[in-house]
Amino acid sequence: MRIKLHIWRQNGPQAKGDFEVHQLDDVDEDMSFLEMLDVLNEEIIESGGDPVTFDSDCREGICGACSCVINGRPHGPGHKSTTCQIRMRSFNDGDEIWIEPFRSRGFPVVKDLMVDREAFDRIIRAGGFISVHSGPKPDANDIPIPHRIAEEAMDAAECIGCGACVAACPNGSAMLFTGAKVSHLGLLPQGQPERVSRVKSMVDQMDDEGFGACTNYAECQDACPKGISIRFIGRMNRDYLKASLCEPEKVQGQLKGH
Amino acid sequence: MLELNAGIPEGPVSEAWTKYLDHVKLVGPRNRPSYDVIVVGTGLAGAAAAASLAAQGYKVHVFCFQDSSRRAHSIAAQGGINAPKNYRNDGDSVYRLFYDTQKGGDFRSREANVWRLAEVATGIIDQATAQGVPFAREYGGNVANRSFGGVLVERTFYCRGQTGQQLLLGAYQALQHQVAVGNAVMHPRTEIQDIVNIDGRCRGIVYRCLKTGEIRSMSADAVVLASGGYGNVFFQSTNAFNSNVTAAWRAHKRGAGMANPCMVQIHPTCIPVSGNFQCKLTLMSESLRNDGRVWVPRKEGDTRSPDQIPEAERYYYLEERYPSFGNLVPRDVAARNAKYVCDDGLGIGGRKQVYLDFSDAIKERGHQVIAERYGNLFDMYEEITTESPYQVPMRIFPAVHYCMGGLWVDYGLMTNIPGLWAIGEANFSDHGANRLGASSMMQCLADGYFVLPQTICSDLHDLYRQKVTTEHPEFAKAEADVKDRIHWLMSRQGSRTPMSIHKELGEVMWDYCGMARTADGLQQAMSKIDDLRDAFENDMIVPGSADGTNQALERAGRLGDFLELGHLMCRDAYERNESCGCHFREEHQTDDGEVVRDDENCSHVSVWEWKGKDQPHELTKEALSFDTLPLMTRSYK
Amino acid sequence: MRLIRFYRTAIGKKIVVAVTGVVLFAFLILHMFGNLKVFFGPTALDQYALHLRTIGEGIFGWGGVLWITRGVLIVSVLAHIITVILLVIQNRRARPVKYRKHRTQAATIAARLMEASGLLILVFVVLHILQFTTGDIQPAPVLFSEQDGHMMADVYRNLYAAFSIWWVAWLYIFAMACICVHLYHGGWSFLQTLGFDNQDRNFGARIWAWCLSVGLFIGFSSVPLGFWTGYLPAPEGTPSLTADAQSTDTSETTHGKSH
Ligand SMILES: Cc1cc2nc3c(=O)[nH]c(=O)nc-3n(C[C@H](O)[C@H](O)[C@H](O)COP(=O)(O)OP(=O)(O)OC[C@H]3O[C@@H](n4cnc5c(N)ncnc54)[C@H](O)[C@@H]3O)c2cc1C
Ligand code: HEM
Ligand code: FES
Repeated sequence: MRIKLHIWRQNGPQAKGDFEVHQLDDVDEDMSFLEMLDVLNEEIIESGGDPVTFDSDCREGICGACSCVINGRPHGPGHKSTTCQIRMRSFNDGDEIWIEPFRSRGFPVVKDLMVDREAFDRIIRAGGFISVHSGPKPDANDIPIPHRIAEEAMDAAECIGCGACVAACPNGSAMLFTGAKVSHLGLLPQGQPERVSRVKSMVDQMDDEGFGACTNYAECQDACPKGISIRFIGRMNRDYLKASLCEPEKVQGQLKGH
Repeated sequence: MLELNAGIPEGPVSEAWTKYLDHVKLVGPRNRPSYDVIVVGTGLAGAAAAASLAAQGYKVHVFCFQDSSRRAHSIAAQGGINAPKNYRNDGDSVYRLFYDTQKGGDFRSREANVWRLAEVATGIIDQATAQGVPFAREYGGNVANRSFGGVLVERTFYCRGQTGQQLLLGAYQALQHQVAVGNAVMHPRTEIQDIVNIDGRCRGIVYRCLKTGEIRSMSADAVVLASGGYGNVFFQSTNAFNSNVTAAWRAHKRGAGMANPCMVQIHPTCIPVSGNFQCKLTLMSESLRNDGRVWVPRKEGDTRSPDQIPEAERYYYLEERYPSFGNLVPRDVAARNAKYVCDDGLGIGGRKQVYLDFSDAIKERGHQVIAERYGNLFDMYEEITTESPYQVPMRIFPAVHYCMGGLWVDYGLMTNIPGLWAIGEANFSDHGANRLGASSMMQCLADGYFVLPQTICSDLHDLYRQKVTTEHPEFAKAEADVKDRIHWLMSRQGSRTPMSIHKELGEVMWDYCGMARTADGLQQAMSKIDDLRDAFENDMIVPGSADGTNQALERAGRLGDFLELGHLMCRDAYERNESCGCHFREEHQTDDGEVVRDDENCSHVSVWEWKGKDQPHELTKEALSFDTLPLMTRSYK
Repeated sequence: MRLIRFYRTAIGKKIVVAVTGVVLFAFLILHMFGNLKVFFGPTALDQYALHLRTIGEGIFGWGGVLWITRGVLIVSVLAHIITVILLVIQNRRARPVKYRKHRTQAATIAARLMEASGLLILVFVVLHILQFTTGDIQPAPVLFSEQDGHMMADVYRNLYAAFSIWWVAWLYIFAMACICVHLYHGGWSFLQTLGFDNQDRNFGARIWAWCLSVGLFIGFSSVPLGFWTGYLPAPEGTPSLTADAQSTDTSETTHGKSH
């Protein structure tokens, strides 16, 4: 099949970017989208040009590295899939495809389609953990966790941290990412001791990173390759409301510092 | 000759670890902050080790090439993690896990290491639970188990099909906590280019910042390599796209021994290659063989669709050749036989693929039951291939999956260079010649949470008095080497892309050093790899510039190491004149194609020493002893 | 201190928007039920208007409760709008470089129109107050008369006069449509913002928002529609459409008094 590509090229974080047009005449429809880009890059290198930079690693939809907005949709046309899981058969012969990086103040462009998502790491760092050191621990069965709770926590924990939620949100909000982690840990008995301080610090960090607020568009849920539900945003709101208005200030202490 | 001393405490293996712990020299809590430790890699092994060491109070610097440490290749592990908890009351114990692992590895690993692995494994489940890893639970709230690959007990713990992801996130979060506390510092998007030895001790690293192209150094009191496996030497594998051997290989070139590099596991059920542009292969769970029947057309190059091929013209080769085990033969046998039939031209339509057919199972058990068991796998398969396994048989073929070989380490996980440690898939590990399912994650986390944090102090003791900084001339020298190398790569202006050479290397490795090997083939492979190295040196093109992100340059650098490693793997496979586990030398097989070990001459670990460019590697053997579990023939009949 | 910190975060702001939205929402519902009195005849409606002013007269004085309510509403509207503006600024900043191509997939039209519908509501509310409460804008004359010793608008008469003009009636119906659209999203969204959502409640929350927004729309629109179609009868002693414009001034003095 024949495909016309409009690819965002940007030489560095500060550089001005623009679209570059490439024509591919012989695209196999069983190719994955990223393999199509690999083939394009091989051609570019052979003709002495500068290949397109894009992130990918696992190429099976779990690491969250791949990150393009394809024809206006993060991770392209699939449902509950990542860019690396898209196959060229999702497009038609003669299609034009626009490829852009995830755009957000929190995700600076490194080069072309590659962005940095360290902002997510910093949100986790603010409280997305349970403070335990390595060493002997109570037996895993000492605290039974109802099946339903474990499953609900797992639903939230499935997040792959790709940032599609931010990229899809008209407000560039990171509420789904943050809400998923707050819910995952907040649901489990092990996560209770830090529940109050966790939600407060993570929400503060989320704002500091320059992400937008949530208008409950639900775009994030639709773009999420793991189909994480916005009900976890609701959960986080609830936790946050309780934590900041109801809990005594003392238990709200920062997690950082020893 | 390398001087190799495994340092296993005397006495029965079951007491070795306790003994070790009782006698190891400790570093006091007040002194720990004065030690700098570098951890390369943030997979299960690296993240767990970094988090544990930082929590003890060491100053830890953590490196990975992804934009976030959470994306390490470990995230992709699916099935589960073993631990002899005996929650099922079905007779599991530390000894049983030791037994299964040692036998599964075809007796090519150290007993003491394997025993320790089995011993600390239960703690991993408790540790992960405390971190908030949502293991699957039964309705009563207890942790659930499933059974896995060829063992007789249910000891596998899982989080849906994303066990690796959840375990890694647990370790990642623990690590991020330490970053928040200030004990650990992250260096994402960096690639280790070299290690720096001063007076026979590893004292730091040189790395390239992948965003700016800068070359920098960092000094430390200990360097831990947790940089994963090298399966991508085959170009096509189930490993992540960027997994590479560079960190381990550069350490090897600075003196670290490389152990059993030819031991590579090939997984029988993967989605076959669909085009020559493909690099990444997708794994389909081994459990499918419980209900699927493997067959190929009897006629060579048969292009009829499967429903047009009558029963009599189907060759159910596993069932025919192995009447007792049928489709459930172990991984290596299933993989090898798929290769045999395809080599005979019997693959589907003459291609390298075989059918895994569920129609009988669906007829027998009903659509519903099969959908419940494998629904998600079928969907995943259909998404990639557009064929529904409910209607047409799956097409599968083996693919490279895991590396048992790696850097040589002693009992405490230190390489033969003092101060340089290797953990996780990067070391030659506890899996001998073959790894059992669900035991890699177990080893990575055992190394990271429980072993390394206890052993590293043995070597640190008193060292903080002799700090070196990157001012030392050795660092300048190493940095200059790295810059030269990058400059050399950038000046390649031939006609072939790094990827095309890599692909060709993969083909050579797969054909000659894959599922079946011969002395002859291995020699041919070595000379073919020499040709490829020639192409690499004289006909490669590297675009762009070295100042800033340049993925083609990264690939070219990694390729150079893969070429050297590939050559050594062939050499190792050639010198190991026996068949064992996944290493199958066609010269050493029974009449019905079974593995024949040579325990008399080959009960050793082959450790290779780098002797310089264009010099042949030198082999040192570490003898293995079998005092606890006597040698036996690995048989599934 | 705690409140300031709360308000500084995006979630804190969103909760303020939601709570003030709910207050306005509640007001709208009461207001609608009040308006529906029109269908029980002019006296019922005017009695209701009078009643609003006499509630709690013993404590707060004539019209006291009404003014307290107005105060709450004004504070809510201001808080709602100011916070919304802050949020919009934050949201715009969060994406400095826009997409060349961007398609929304899941967002309802109502959600995408929150800013526009909110703005239209604001314009409408101002006009509405200027028209019926203060009488500053008079597409049709607005009459006041003395009741109970206080000057009050002749509610039914004024409504009749205004909504007999086709464009006034339709302008009101359009404004109600804006409110309906705003609240179709808002009625669901505030539940989400306040954390009522969970696995099995989401669908219910959508239904609830639909019922409320459409209910409000029908309830409110029925009044202008009733007058415009002639279903609601002209008030007794048919109004003199030439009534003196002086009444406007009277109204101002009236309000001066009721402070
Ligand atoms: C598809 C698949 C399924 C699997 N399923 C299972 C399973 O069910 N059970 C099981 O037990 N095992 C399973 N495995 C095996 C297991 O996942 C791996 O062996 C294990 O995760 C390896 O972990 P690691 O920590 O050693 O290294 P990795 O996770 O590979 O991490 C390597 C790290 O090193 C870094 N790195 C490497 N080189 C450099 C460099 N030069 N500079 C800087 N950083 C560098 C990388 O950034 C990365 O962070 C599976 C493997 C695959 C491929
Ligand atoms: C009668 C008047 C009003 C009512 C009943 C009302 C009600 C609501 C409700 C319930 C919400 C949902 C809150 C949430 O998402 O949690 C909301 C949001 C919103 N309102 Fe209003 N509102 C009114 C007037 C206005 C006005 C006058 C404006 C504009 C200037 C406005 C602008 C908005 C905007 C932009 C939002 C979305 C905020 C966001 O999610 O980012 N509203 N409103
Ligand atoms: S490359 Fe890992 S999710 Fe796409």
